[in-house]
Amino acid sequence: MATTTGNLKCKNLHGFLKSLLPATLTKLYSHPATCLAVFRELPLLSRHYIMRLLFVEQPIPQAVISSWVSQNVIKQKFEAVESLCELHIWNEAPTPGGLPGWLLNPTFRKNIKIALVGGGQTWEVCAPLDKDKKTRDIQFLDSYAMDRWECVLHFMVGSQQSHEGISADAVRILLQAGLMRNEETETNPLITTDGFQFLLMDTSTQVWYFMLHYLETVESRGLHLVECLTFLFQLSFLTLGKDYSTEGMTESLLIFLQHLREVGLVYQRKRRSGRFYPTRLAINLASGLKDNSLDVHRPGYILVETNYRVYAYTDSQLQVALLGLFCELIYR
Amino acid sequence: MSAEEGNLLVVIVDTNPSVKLMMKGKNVLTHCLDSVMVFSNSHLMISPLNKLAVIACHSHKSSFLFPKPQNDDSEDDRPTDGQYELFAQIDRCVKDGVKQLVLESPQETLHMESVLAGAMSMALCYIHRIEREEKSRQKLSARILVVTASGDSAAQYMNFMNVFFTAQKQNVIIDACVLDKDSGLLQQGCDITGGCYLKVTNVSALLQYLLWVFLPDAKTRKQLVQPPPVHVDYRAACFCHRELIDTGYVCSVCLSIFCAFSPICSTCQTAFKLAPIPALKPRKKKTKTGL
Amino acid sequence: MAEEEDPSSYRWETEYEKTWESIHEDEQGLLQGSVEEILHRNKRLRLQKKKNIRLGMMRHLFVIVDLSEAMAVQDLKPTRHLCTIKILEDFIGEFFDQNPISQLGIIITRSKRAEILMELSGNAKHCMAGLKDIADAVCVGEPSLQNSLELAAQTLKHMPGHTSREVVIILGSLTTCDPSDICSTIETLKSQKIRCSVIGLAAELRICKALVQATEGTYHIILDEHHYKEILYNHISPPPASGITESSLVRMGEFSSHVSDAEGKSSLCNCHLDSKVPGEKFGIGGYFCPQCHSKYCELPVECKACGLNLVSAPHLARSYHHLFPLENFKEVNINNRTDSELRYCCGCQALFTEQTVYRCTQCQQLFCLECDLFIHDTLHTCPGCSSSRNFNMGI
Repeated sequence: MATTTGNLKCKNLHGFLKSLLPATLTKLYSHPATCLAVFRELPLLSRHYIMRLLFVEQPIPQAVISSWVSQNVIKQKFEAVESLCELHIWNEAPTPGGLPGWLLNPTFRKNIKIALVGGGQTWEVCAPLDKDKKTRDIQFLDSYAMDRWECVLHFMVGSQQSHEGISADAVRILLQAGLMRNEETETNPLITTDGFQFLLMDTSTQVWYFMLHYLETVESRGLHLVECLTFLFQLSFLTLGKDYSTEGMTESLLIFLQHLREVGLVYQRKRRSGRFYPTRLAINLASGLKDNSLDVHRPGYILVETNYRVYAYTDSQLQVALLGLFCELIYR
Repeated sequence: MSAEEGNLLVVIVDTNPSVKLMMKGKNVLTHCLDSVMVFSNSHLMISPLNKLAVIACHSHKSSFLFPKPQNDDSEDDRPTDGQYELFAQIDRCVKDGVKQLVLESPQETLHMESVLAGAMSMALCYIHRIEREEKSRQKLSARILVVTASGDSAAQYMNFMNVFFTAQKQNVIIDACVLDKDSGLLQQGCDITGGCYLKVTNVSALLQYLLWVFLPDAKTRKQLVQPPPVHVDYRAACFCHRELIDTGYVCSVCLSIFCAFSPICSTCQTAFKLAPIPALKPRKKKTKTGL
Repeated sequence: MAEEEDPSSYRWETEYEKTWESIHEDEQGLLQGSVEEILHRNKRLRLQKKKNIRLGMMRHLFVIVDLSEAMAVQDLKPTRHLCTIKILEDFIGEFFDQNPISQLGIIITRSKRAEILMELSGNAKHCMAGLKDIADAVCVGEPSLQNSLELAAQTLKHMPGHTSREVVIILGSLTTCDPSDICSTIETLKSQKIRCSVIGLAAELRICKALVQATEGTYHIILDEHHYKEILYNHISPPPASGITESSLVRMGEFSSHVSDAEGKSSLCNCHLDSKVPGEKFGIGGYFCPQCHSKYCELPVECKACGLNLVSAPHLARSYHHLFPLENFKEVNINNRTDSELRYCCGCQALFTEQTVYRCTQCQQLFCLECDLFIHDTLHTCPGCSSSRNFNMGI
């Protein structure tokens, strides 16, 4: 899931993971959700390779694996092999016959099998839970998520409509990502050109970009990268509309949860309510599905005339504020 | 990743056990069912855009196992192990559905044939509906996989052919994985629609066969090396003896096929024009010179 | 003269139709629902018109295309000529799809002459290639109805009696230039049982009407491109078999073993013997005639060496649905019942959103409108009937 909008490059999950150490990767692979997320990020041919090798215990000669693919797709084959090596999903191992072979990383194999077939421990968030007396339906979760996310965007735009500011943490991330910069004369940071590009991306890309930068700084906040990543991946495979338990989560994970709550990825009634609901922004976050139903920008609402008059049909404050950056608002 | 298109896979499982298969061991049927379920889950795992439907057929009826049309809210069961929730849900639905179907089968007679054609026509209706619903959001290609051990069924010839032609028209590929008994009709179907026909003799390795041959969708199959196509016997069966024939006669009104010339068509009762009898030369009168 | 005219034929003679009253707005002021309802009702009517009549399966159809000056008029976009070519291409594809053992030929007429563009053949690709040739032809002169009809009759009269002989004329001009009395041509066509239909692009002509009435064909004038396509597609279904004098048993070779590319020896295929490209179709895969073992690359074809018709069983099976048509489903109104079985469609498992659903008379299962149309248009098999042991329809 790589997006390039103008100069704004968003690293995809693959690029992010490549930069981690092999030991960290193996620790990451000890949870089924991570393996599932990483699996879906790979090129299609690699995924088929893994599926074929999943139930095979011993190393397979490299020549055999090369023969699976027909001759006209050398480039894809090379890409597939490369990506699997970079993420240490498979390693070189000699076969009993002495030929060089590939063997799937045992931790990866074990956990992706668990995700597929079953067995192992339940995911932490799926611990048994009593029925919530005040269940929230999907519509409420959607509106909550949009509200929270738009707060962040409002802050970037600098409009006065935001009745709640955002926390200092979030501001720090925006600064660090280069989306806003601090001016000496102003008290509030100002938006940069990169920030403009960011505002024009669709919502799921924006969230992903934000989270990636957050993850880069997570160690400096005293949280554990592996824990947070694992939690994030688990989050993206949950079902919308169901509540999940916060039992057994460590202190650092709880802080992470609060940050997510602030930008609208999860919903919690109270800080200590013991359960949370993932919202649409969080689901499928790692798989990069462009779920356009929760988009800030809906296509087709702006008309631009050749005399440079712009008409916009919208009732969203955010879009009005965005337009206000580029145009002079005459009538509402 | 956004250039990928989703693939709708409809798996049709024949739950009518063939006698020979049962003799191989007690757990063969559960093993096959498990393999099919893991395979279906792998299909969903490959891409988040993929969709799945499972239909089971028996000798007396066929029914949808997943997705179930009723929205029952009994989904409060929490998963008990590390399996992805969606997969656990599918497993549960399939197991319950198959149990129900087998228990409902009438006990008096045991039929060897399953209503595969019916299940395939339901699958086509479902595909048609999903393609219509998803047209605005994403491109979807569809295919059907039939897993069966029941062999051929001559009585369903017409239904099968209708299904195959419809699938060809709708660009739906039909794959077949047969255990144990070959099925000429399914071979024809796979050939007509461009799918893959595989006969599996080693049932304990069923999952591996499924993952290797049937998991890739149509576009990916071009990149991977597939098993060679099977030689398909396109001969027709004559209506009078049900034997396969090379050359035969076809009634021009109802297109029934006969192996020998007969003056009346048995299907539509039309009398045929007989070939003109060559005129006989008048015989010379025999002179009475003894016998 | 008066008794020849159909009493209810002309629109100005029938009752005044208040078309604006048939559309109603629903609660939200939208017309969409009402429009959709009308469309669906038309579709259902079309399906119900098919009755159980004896059909002529093996058809020989000539399409006569007018290439006169009148076809360069731009009332159909981009010109009548190009629009016709486009629609004909789709028609050819559908025709061979539904009638695999039939043959189609094309005749063009312009500058007071007629010529055969494509001989009768069973191969869709040949016909399409022929059409491409006239796509850039010049439309000039006047058409000649009599010349083209005589040309068609010359070939069709040799066709065996058990096949149907048909001609479809696409006429854009309002005049025709004939060498002699066209009524005698019409008499000849009538006696040879050649069924002529006309599709007019401009206005109704009396001579065409006479032709069509004498030979029991159909005559339509198109309203727009959509209507044009619809009328042309009506000719895809086999016509009623009144024109067939005799039925006979035709000798055919069904089995043509298809040798896959992996085995067998290379040989030259018979259908491309005259091809100019050297080495074209020289290969291993192909179909063999069971009688003389000459190779062909495509079916259906008539073997050049021994005269045997070669088809494969699926080709015949494609036409079977005309002979055993699926009965129409009955409309049923479900009020808000709570039985869970009746809430969703047997075919596609969708929950019913409308009040009218359709019930199959054999298996009593309920289907939604979309499935009903799909089943009757394309599938020709009821999923409920074929899923249950008792109603298995087989041969």
